[in-house]
Amino acid sequence: MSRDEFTRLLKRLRQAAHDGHDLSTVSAVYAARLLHLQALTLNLRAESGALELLWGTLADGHLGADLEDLQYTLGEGPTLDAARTGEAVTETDLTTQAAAERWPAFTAATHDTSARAVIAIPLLLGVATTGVMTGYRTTTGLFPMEQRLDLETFAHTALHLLLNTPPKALAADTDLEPVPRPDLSLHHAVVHQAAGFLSSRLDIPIADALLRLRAHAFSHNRRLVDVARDVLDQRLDLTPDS
Amino acid sequence: MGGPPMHNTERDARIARAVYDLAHRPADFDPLELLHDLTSQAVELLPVRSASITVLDNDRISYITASDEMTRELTEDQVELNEGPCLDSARTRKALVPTELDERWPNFAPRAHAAGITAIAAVSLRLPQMLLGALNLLMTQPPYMGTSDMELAQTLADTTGSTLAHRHELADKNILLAQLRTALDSRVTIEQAKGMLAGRFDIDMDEAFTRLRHHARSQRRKLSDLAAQIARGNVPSEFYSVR
Repeated sequence: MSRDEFTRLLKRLRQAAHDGHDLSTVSAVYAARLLHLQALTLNLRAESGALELLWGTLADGHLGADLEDLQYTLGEGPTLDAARTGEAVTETDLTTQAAAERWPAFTAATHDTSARAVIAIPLLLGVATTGVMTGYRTTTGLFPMEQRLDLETFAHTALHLLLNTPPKALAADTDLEPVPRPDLSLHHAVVHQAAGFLSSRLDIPIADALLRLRAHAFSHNRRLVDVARDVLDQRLDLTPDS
Repeated sequence: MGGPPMHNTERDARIARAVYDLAHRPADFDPLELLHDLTSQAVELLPVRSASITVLDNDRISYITASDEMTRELTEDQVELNEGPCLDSARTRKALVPTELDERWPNFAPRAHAAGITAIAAVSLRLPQMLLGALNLLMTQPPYMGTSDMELAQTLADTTGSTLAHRHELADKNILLAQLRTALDSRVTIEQAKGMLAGRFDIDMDEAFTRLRHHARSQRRKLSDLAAQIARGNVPSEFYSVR
């Protein structure tokens, strides 16, 4: 049943990619369900090499945003490894010692979430890694070959849809506000705003401001986006001696 | 070139490897190198002395590459003399079964014979978008290429053609990706600049973005360039005079 549904989804997406539509036409929640995953995310690599979360099961109450937020904060995890190596990364049981040794901070942090297994697939264009599609499951265990192949096929199609995104939809480089795209947005916009804000208040470079945000989120076990919002609302002062 | 006879299975494996080799190339592969490899594979797998590639571009035929120097000369001779089986095959856009060189090509045939070439065959090479070319196969003595040899030659040529077609597609995708990445970087910078202005002037994000756009427009600067300057901590003095 859901096999046929997945085949139909892929067919529809290939047609959409061919017709010039972008990834905002794809419901991440629906795709995740057909792939038997509880969360699904897509990061694109910026020119700087940094990964930016653009699409996925990101609404509150969904796992995707939190797990990517953790990796962004901690600077380690499967998505980052897949981007770095250009190879698929899987961890079939996040409760094991082996997982803890692989990504000590990330694995420990996942224990506060319901995620128990992860698979990260690099999005390759030719031989270049352009981004990463990551899937999370709330149960431990192997990712069966069929599930892996389906995810790889889906990731490949998603990349082609992503490439159809009008640059203006992301850039805000015109007199217009970015065109709102329900399922496609710069998830960490608020974090970059907060980095700029801190940079001007503390008179430090943006990169240092971002590090300070990440360090605070890590040491206080908070979500990076929440820390960023608090900084912008001036509920949180990150001056060194405060 | 002959060589010791192979078992069928060994030859099969070599054919499979050749097709794989012609089909799998890195994103930035050199098309000329691929075409040269096609001539080498043809010589390796078919009962021919040598091979060359010609293409037809706006009814002009030109030589592209060959498996060796003698074949390069013979192919260029045909273009120069404006006669020869490779030209006929390219002009008619049809495959040419092994054809013995005789008085039909009064100027070219003697040159070929002097080099030991007695027959030539060709299969068409379909290149993406603009060009149609031929893979020319030069032979020194019977038995000449048979039907299955011609089919194999066509398969090698088709594989090469589709690899070249994919290269164009990949190049297009790479341009789209570059644009998207630039847009992403510019967006990140703009968010940082908004935050920077918000912190400096104690304004909200909407107001920060309004001022950013206003100044970019009045200074006729790209929003992303102005944002990048601000994100580096360098807020232009005009910002301080705005209320």
